[in-house]
Amino acid sequence: MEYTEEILDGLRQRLGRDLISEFNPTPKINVIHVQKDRVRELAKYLTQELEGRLIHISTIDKGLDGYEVIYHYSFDHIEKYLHINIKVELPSEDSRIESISMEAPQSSWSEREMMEFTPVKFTGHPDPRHLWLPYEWPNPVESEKCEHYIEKNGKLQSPTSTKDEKTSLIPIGPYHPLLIEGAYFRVKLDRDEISDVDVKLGWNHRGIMKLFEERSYSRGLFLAEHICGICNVTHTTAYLNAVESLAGIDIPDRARYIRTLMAELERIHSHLLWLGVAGDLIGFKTLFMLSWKIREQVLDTFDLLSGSRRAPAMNLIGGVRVDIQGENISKTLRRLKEIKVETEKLIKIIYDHSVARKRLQDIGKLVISKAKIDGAVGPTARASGWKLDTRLSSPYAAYSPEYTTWEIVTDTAGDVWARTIVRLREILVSIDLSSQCLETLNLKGGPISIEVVDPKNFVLQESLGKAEAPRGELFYYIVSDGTNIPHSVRIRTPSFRNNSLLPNLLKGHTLADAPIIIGSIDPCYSCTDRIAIVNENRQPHLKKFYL
Amino acid sequence: MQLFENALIYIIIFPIISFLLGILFNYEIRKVSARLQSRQGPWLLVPKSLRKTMGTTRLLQPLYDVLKLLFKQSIIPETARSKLFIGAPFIALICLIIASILTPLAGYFAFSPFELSLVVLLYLLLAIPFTFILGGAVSASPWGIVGSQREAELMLAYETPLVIGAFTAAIMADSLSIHEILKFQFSNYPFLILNPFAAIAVIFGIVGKLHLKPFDIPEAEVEVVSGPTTEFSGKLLGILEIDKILLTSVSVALFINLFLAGGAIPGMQQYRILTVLFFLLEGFLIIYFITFIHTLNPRLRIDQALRWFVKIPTTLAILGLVWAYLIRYFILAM
Repeated sequence: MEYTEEILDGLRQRLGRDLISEFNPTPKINVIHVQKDRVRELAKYLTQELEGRLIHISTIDKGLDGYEVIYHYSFDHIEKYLHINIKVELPSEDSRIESISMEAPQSSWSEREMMEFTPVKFTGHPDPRHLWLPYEWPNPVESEKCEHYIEKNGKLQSPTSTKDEKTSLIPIGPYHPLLIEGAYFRVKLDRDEISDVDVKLGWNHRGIMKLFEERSYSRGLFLAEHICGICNVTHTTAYLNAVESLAGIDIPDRARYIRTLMAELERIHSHLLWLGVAGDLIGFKTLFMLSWKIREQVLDTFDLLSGSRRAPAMNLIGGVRVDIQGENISKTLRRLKEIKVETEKLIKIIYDHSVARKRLQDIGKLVISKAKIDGAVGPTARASGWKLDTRLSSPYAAYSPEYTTWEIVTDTAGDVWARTIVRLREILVSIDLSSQCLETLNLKGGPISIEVVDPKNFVLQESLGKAEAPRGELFYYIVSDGTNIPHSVRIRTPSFRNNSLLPNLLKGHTLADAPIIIGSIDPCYSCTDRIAIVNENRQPHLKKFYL
Repeated sequence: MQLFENALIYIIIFPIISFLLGILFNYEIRKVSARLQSRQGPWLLVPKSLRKTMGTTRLLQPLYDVLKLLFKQSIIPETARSKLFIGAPFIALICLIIASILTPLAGYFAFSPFELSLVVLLYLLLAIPFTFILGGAVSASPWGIVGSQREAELMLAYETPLVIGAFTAAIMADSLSIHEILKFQFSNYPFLILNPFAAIAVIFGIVGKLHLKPFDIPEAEVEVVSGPTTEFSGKLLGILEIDKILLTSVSVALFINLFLAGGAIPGMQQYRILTVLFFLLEGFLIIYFITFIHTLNPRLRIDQALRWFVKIPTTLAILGLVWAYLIRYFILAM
């Protein structure tokens, strides 16, 4: 708590009269309203001097009152749970604000996204192009970088028409066997070396965040579950972390353990899935087959515990849906033991395989200083030696030391091999964590959910929820206006942040290494792109509250 | 060793036998790698409940896959040079048909033996990668061009041990005729025993030539889609697949002829049935070995592959060359 006060005091002194108001109900939520011309200076102070992380920038449209730009700074890697939200209000007639991406490069993509979604303009951004819209779409601001990819008449440059004869533009995606996703990498090859990369994560605007704003909290949960096919437990957990802290509910211990169990099973399945895909990316089909064979057992466990192989729908506001007891516990424990034996075999195969090692070592290097500046998250950051894990820094569910004991996995090399090793060792840690949860569930009884609170009586106006997805830190920001429908929901997925690292990671490598380097951050585009087809009969907003 | 007097019959029979053999070899590659990956693979014996729809065996699955392609529409890209694009698979097919006629199978010859048949055969096999490069380069697809470039680089790597290794056999037999090489092995030992270095070098050369892992770099799926063959579809792709099937059987048969006495056991070459059986057995064993390499390895990067080919197979081939001289002029001459 001393550190929190220290930072806040420092901010108060620095800002002086420019601090309009502040609101510090919990260490997790410290909201500070400031004047808009102090934003750059604060970014420099908070990210460079205090080594804080900028998680995301949200913009909220408040109608006639203008726009609200919120900079989410996180210090939880230094002091547990500490977050500071810097808020700036902009009038609707002059929605311009200075860009902070020179001071905090991690904000670059967030600002580009906000410029595309809202009329807020970040002036002085080094690369103010569209992030999601097609290349041919008129640019918000002319930029030098456009010329690499688009000709003057607005057409995409063809591979053969580059000005320089030695370079060629190679399109990877959106229809390419590398990633069967909507992502598009425009790779500029200088002979055989990659000299520049431009990334398009997808082609659709994030309609999902708008959809959240017209559903009640409990139906929003359903939506959160369907954002991603791989890490749906984590999405609901992060969403519920936000909603439950809004409502001021503390869920029962048994629900905490069940949530942790599901999240860890999901991590095992996701890492095994990644391992298979990585094997495929270096042409190792056998590794793909073997690791997906083990993954089947994890999916069967999901089926046993929740009745569904992939979308367990376990989490509810205030607890969980089904209890895990009796025979299911012993069955799951037995299966986890089998998975552990098989995984250890797999790890041995990869460790001893000289050709696989040759392909993975010394490529896609990310040094820790660069990881911190660019804001890497998840296993990508941990493989560079940065002890960054939401489970450790802002413990939720049953991750804090009074519930379970576990150790964070890090590596120092920072290359693709290190990322592989970190993920492999995390599988073992997750198996251990799940076994701990199951054993505790076996010993103790208790309720699995509690009564929820009416949104009129929510203790907070806004809250953020975080969870450690298999790919890294997942972030939800929810603002409540006292009705049964959230005023706004903002999501920052781990792949969004890690994808922004890719252009730097790929530079200087050959085209043959591009697939595994792109794969090494474990990109998940269903999270990031957020195409969701929700087929339901539209109803007018519910008058009577139900959660 | 002629069954029929008319050489024309051989010219028809040999490619067909080679093709069928290639299908069996491809079936084996698929089945063995499937079993190693804990998959089923194409059934050798279909379960009784499925026999009505699938037949008794799926041994000919590679053939069905090719036949399917031959009945499909082929699309030729507008930007491609269509004559060369269409021509490339056919040039490869013609080269391979001639090569399969020239390659003796289990001691049977299509032609009466002639000088320099080994040289002709090696040239014909060398033409195959060139047609692949041609097809990729004229297809006007960036992936085709990158794939062709890779194929050109890799070709230099794998052809060197293959050609040097093949010529060691010629040096030991003191003749460039495959017939003479076979005859020499009948009266002595198979060259695999006399000169294992060259034999191993040639095997690795064949793995490279067949684009099996870890050397499937030109066709690496996730990197360059399908390399030189990216833009090929339908019938043209079918012809390319036939090329690959023929290439498998011809290169394996070449290896058996050069290093395993064409399937014969020295001194017992007059028992033809035994020779045929041994030929098949040795062929399947070689494919089995190659499949293991294919299944248990990821793909190397092009620079790593080049370095590896210079480091191991080429060194072995040169060692085999020196060994061949020693055997020919010192040990056997004595």
